[in-house]
Amino acid sequence: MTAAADGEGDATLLELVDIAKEFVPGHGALARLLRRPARSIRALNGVTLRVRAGDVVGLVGESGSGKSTLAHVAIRLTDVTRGTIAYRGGDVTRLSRRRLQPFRRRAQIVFQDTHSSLNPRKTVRQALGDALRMRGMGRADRAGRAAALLEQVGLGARFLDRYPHELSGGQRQRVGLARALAMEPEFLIADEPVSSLDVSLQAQMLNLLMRLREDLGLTMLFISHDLAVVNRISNRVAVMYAGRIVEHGTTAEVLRAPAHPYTQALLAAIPTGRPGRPASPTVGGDAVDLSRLPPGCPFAGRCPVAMSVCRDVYPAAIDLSPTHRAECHLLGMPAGGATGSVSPGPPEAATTGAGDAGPLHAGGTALRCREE
Amino acid sequence: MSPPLLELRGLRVGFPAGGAIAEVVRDLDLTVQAGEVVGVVGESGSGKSMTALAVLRLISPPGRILGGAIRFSGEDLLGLPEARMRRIRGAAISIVFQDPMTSLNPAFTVGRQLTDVIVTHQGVDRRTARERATEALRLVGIPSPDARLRDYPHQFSGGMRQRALIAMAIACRPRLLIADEPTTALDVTVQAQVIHVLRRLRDELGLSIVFITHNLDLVAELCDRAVVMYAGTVVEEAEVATLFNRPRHPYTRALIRCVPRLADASGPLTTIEGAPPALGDHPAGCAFAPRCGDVVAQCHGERPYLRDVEDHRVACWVAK
Amino acid sequence: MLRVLAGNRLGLVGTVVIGVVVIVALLAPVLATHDPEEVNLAGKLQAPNREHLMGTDQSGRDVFSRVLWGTRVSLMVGVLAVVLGLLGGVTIGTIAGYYGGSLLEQVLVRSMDALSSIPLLIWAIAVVGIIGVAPIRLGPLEFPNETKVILLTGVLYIPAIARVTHAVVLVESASDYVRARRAQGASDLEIMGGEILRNCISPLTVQATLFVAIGIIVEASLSFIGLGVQPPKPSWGTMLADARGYVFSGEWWLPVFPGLAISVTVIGFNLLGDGLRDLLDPRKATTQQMV
Repeated sequence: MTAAADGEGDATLLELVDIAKEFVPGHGALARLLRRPARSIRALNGVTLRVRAGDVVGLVGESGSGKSTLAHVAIRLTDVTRGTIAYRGGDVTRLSRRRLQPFRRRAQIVFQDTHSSLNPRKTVRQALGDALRMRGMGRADRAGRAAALLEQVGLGARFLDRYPHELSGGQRQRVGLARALAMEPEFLIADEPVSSLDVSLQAQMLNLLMRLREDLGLTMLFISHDLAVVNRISNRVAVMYAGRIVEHGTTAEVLRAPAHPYTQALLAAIPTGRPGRPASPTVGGDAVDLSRLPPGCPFAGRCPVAMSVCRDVYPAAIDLSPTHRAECHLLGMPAGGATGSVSPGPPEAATTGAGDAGPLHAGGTALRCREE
Repeated sequence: MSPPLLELRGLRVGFPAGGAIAEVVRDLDLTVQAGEVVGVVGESGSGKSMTALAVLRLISPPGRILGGAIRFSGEDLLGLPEARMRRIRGAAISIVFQDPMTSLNPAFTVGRQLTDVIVTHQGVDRRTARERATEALRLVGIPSPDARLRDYPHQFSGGMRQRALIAMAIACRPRLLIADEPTTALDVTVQAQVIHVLRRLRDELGLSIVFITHNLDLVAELCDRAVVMYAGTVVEEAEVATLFNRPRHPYTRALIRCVPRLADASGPLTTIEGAPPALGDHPAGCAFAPRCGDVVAQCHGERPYLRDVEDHRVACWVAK
Repeated sequence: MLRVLAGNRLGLVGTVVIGVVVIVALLAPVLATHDPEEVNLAGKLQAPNREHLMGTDQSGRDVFSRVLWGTRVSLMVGVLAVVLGLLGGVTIGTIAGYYGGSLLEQVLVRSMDALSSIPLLIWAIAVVGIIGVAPIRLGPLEFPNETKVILLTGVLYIPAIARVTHAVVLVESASDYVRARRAQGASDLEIMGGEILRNCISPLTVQATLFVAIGIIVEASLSFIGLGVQPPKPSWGTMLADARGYVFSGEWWLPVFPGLAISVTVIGFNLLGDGLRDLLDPRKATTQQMV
């Protein structure tokens, strides 16, 4: 990882404190008016995250984890229900659009879905021109700068007059990146930037991102469900589940010595790429219902090593090292605390892997097998 | 040796585009033996999904099968009348698609959709059909299957929906299941469950599976044999262990290398230059030549065909 | 776009027809052979001949010239009513769609539902019947009776146009490119006008052409019963009204030519609208299916 080593770049760029975000589905306005208690969806449930200058923080989680919501909240695309967002020490949580503009120039975002990230009725030139205009650039300079941006992302000026439907998925993704860079940000959120791309194009895009990060000195929040990708590009990792960060630390800590059972399950579920060595599903069930969250740990229903306290009380954060933190009751207990990982049970073969949350073998063992 | 369960020879599929015919599947050969799980790997534009649809003759116009032969247990499928083909779909050969969210009809219960399939193909009464439906749900690992029959699709989670679809596909005990990217839309923990289900079905039912995906690692996990497709044709074919340990086609090698893995060291990833050709748009000669690191003059002029190279079949002029 | 329209034969026919109609309306003063209001009792009720290409009516007025000038009124009413409908409908639909899920949206949508329950023709007849057919006076300006028809019809177009716009804007407002603009600091107004609006043009064009046709029929209907264009101004509807007594007595040119004018123009707009609809929708469907 060519990123800054831990410790360098102590300046905190982005600090999210106890962020909560609730959505009321459907026509919530009418429901509120009629005083009907509408069931709200708790997409984010107390998220605290600090991104320091020079970091590439990988944010991982599956569907319903809240990672995209967190991204949108972090750059004020949507307002928080509770909590504060600070950028370079200044509170931006409730700033008006006008006062927010300096922040907007510094923090930008790249989206996942190439079909909806560009206006189908605007050419690349127009899309980039809009961004440059917001950046404050005069009309005369915009064309030249747009061409330069396209060069920077590996496309040429000949793409300026194309419409999105005339571009391939990989090309659209690069245009989206150029658009974000047009604002000359120092902080870039990449929301699953390679997930919709073909395998051979993912590698190209990732290399591009890593190179730009170095050339432009970008700090990044890299959102992905793919742990191998996150491993490559990030120096820190935060794992999300049902609107909370359940574990975070350096990449090495989280991906090689995961403490939280969910992180372990994620790692165990990844196909090994080795013939004849199948990954076993270590958790059953599916994503949790965000409108019916239990008072305790949201993973309790699927966790192979859940205890009764897990359902009732949300675990306190345990610091396993100055940089590594996880939220799990098991870690606070004497047995697992020292090693920082859940003590592995006997490596039974997976039972049903079905909808019922039957306990299967804990992930720790599986992880060690993988490292051979 | 008995005839293969499924045999495709020289299959060609295309659609009219700008006056000419764009071929999306070009001269494809593929064989599946009984009880085998074959993985078909390819990126977008490789024609893998079209191949699956072609087997069941589900290609919608203006696309159509241009030529070649498809044989199922020795029987020619392309020559069959539509009525006969309908009896094969869902009963002898089944297919599961990528997106479980849209593959089930939201207006009917899951049980109703399952029993419809069973009644249609097996001609039994509703009660027997319901018993068989319950059994199918149990086989795919859905808990309390009899209660779940009464649920609507929106009451199922994504992973359960996909499993319900697999249940529908195997309810009539087909000999062959085609799974077209069945886990692509699912979370990785759920994906592991679905793969587990497929493996179990292979073991318990002797089901043959054609598993289509862009994810090489999944193929390594689940399949006996792997077939790599590029630009509408097969470029390499071998047993899974052999393919992964010693890939012979430059594309296969490059593909395996450019996928990021947890165990990797840091630094930039290996890439493949350029991009896969658009659907139906191929150069003369080898379609991979523009991106290939080992290209020689012959590659641009002559299109390679599948030939045996030790324990692989490879379509490449330079593979040894 | 013209190339694709050529592939759609009916749309092409519609375009040609409307093209001709528009040219006629613009060049009426030049193309007309006589003054459309000039009375000549001596030459009344002539069958079509070389001097009067479509004959003369019971006041001796040249039917051909009256048909040509009538085109102006019909087109003007049809087009201006649609313009009014677009101005109101697009504004309301965009606001409702952009702020989807809010109370504002609910209020707007329900209001549009209420407005759309009013039947167009009855509404126009009733209002003009009550207000009367005198021109509207606003200070030094005087607006002829047709203005009322334009206003009344245009207002009733608003709900349908708002509905189409609302649907498009609701979907587009959730796209990532809108989010990107917001992330650049663009205001809601800039986004609505600068990004989303252009995505409404296709469906609205179809709607608009069909509404022009409806407007022409409304104008002709009201003029027929005396509540639209006032005599002696020529209008296809008033010409039909004048021709009422002569339908079976042999002076066929009196009802036929204005009737044909209405039919051809309305069908022309309908074909154009259908052609545009075919142009804009199924093409997307087939190409995406192949991917």
